[in-house]
Amino acid sequence: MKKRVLIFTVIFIINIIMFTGCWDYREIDNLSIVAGVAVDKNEQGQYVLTVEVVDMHEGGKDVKVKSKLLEVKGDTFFDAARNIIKITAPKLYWGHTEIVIFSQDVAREGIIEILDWLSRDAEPRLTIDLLVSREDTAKEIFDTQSIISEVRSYEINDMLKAQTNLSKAPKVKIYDFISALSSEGVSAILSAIKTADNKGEMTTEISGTAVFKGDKLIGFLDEDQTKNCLFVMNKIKGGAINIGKQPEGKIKNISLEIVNNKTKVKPVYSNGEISMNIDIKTETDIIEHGSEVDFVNEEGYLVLKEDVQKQLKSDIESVIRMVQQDFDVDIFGFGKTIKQDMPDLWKKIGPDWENIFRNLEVNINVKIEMKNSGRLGRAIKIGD
Amino acid sequence: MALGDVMFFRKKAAKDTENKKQQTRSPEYTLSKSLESNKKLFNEIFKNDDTFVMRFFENQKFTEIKCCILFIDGMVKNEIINDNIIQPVVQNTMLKDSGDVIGTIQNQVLVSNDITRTSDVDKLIKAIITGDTVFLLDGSKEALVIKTFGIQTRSIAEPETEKVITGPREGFIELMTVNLTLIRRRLGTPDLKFKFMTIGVQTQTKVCVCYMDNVVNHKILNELYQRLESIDIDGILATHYIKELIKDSPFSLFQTIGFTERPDVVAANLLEGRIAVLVDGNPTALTLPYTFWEYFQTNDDYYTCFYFASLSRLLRIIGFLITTGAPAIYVSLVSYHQEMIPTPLLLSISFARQGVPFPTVVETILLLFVFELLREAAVRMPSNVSQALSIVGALVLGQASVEAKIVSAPVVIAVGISGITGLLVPKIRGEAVFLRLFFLILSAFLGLYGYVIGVAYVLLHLCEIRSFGVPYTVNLTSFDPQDIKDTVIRAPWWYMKLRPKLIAADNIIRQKTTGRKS
Repeated sequence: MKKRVLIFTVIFIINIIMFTGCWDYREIDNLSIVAGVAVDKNEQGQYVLTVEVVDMHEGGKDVKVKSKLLEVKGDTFFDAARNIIKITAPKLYWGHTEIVIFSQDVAREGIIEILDWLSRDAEPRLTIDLLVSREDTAKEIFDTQSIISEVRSYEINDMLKAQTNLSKAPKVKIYDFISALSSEGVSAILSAIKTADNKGEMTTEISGTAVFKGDKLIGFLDEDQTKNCLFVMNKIKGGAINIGKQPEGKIKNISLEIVNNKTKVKPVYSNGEISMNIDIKTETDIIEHGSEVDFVNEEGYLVLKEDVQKQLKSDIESVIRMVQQDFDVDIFGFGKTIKQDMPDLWKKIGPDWENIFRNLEVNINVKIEMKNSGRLGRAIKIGD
Repeated sequence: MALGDVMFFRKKAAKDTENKKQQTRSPEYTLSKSLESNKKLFNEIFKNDDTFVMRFFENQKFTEIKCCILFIDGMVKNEIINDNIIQPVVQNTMLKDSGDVIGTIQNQVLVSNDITRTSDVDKLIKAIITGDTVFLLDGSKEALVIKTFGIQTRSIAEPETEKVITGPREGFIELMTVNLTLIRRRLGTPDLKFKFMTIGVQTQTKVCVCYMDNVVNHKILNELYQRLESIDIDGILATHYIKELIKDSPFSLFQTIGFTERPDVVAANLLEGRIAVLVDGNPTALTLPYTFWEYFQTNDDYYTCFYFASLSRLLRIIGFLITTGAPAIYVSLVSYHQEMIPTPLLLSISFARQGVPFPTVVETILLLFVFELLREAAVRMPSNVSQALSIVGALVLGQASVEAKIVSAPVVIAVGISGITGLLVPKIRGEAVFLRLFFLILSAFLGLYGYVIGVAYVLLHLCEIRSFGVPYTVNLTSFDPQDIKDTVIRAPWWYMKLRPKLIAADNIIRQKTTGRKS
């Protein structure tokens, strides 16, 4: 009897393993690894996907990783993605996809269904970076020349990561975008990408911000506007404050490298009027100094500091005004701040937030500290 | 599962040999007064044995005193026989043909520290076989047994498999009495006990059970005696015979009895309340009870700085996890969980696999098989060709098969790492080979889930088995510092205040707590 139970158990276990195992087995070399995808629409309203897959069929030693572009059409995004099988045998593997680029047309019509698939399907990650092409189509970004890596998408992803040292474009992942889309009092943004000329070869550059109203694109901000916006959003991690020539001030040709930045946004409610106080505290290093101001003594230091503060303050003020008037969407998340700090007030003004935002008063207070001056203690003196 | 197997085989075996005992030689012999008939008797017993020697001689003064000594050539010290037996008897001038000549010879003539008088022929035969000399006197129904045992042995050397950087370098040899002195020299107390037993119906092998009477857990000791006494086998040629015969969970992959070739390790084990079993003719001693942690303990741990000892013990444990898990985890990541591999690594593995015809699992099993082949060959072959083998193994099979696209390079790395880390803990190598294959096959079907299921099964099994009543994974889940002081880490000696609680049940204080503040 015991023997029978034993044999039955063994057969049972073997069957469990045999019948349930291997269902998602696939060999690593049979995958078409998608590095990135560009989404366009043709005249019939169909999606046109340009998928960059990593090219594995080189073999031998010292092969460089290369990529191939596959172009397919489909009525929906998923239809197009599956249609790839028509032209290449292996199913696409989305587990290592890094970027998705939308064309302006697609972005203006709304991208909610694409985001839905990307977050609903098991393979794509929520850390995929989203971009909007400033060119006519998204696929021409992939046609440009890579500089370091052979796979365009991975290089664009690396460029986005390096943006923390430049702060001229935001880095927005799927979950950032969806979270901005679904919360009250804040509008979504994406980074923008365009082609650029590098010594006669076309390559790409990430520059500026795409501004969304809901899931629909409504316009772009340029690089400097983007940086000033990032100051307000407390997303500055690096980059520099550059002042070439200032018409009124004494200083010129100054670069301050941002070491640390902290922005506090506080809503103030008085006399039935809501306004925002924005405190920007920035620690910087003097990294380039071409003016005659001697920043070592206190007088010169204060002149330098005040001029830079004044400049930055006016820049930020003008970009907020521009967003209020031209786009009329709260990309800074002021509404969200009010909702968090004054929930009762938000209940009253929330439904009417669009109108309030348009005429919202902001008080900006910039404080810049220069902590370090690099290897030089003072400006280089020009003798006779 | 294992239990059912055991019952099944035991029942069958019992049916076959029911009421049958091993056949041994047992006609009754008795000594007679006549030397001539005694000579015939022993010649009959040792018929066709040419190493058996009979030497007749008589006293030069009283020639009626005729004697004979019996011994086996090569097992005795010839000087003792010449100087201390033949010379005194031949040259003695005081002997008279009085009543008790054999008593006079025993007490006044022979020069030896160990003489016994007996008329039991079985005892005489056994004495001759074990290298003693039997003295027969014409006209006496009794004989003398004189200790003359002396054979050529290996000198005491450091065991090859258990080398230390610092610390004693003595190892056991094949002669048990020498081994016992090696232990005795380390434990200078009358509480150290040596109990002899004889096991093996044909081989009549001497087995010694050593323990510290005041530390040992007597329940474990009685259990051990019971198991040893129930052994009924024709021969014990190595200590491992006994190990397999008395082991708990006989079908388990894991050893529940330890073994060592070092007297210092035995002494340390005895001090912790463990019991050692030595077998004559073997340089290996068994130590029991044995727990899982002892796989990862080496004697070097206790002779070096405790920081470094703890680090190397951690390395050994990690090494064991890697050696069993590396191929399985590699296969499950590459065939099921590609999203868990960093992108650049995924690309390079994918490139390396281009053009390889076999699935990753087959590749890995193939390479593991080759690795085991090489290992087995390296163990069995004469050492002067080992260089040729390593060249063939590493170069030809490794590099050429990668270049010929029979296997991919990452698999070689995974199997190689698994092989190298397997050498970190030589004691568990055999177990590791099976665990590696078990995890690998589960992973091949179920991915990482399979690996986790396999590890869970092995852990459950480890928690289930016992060694002489002591749970095998004792202290695995404990957080008491005194419990884990000698498991994953090796605590400093001044902190090891207690002996293992379950092993030395009655006497667990190792040192006074006032020795040093901790």
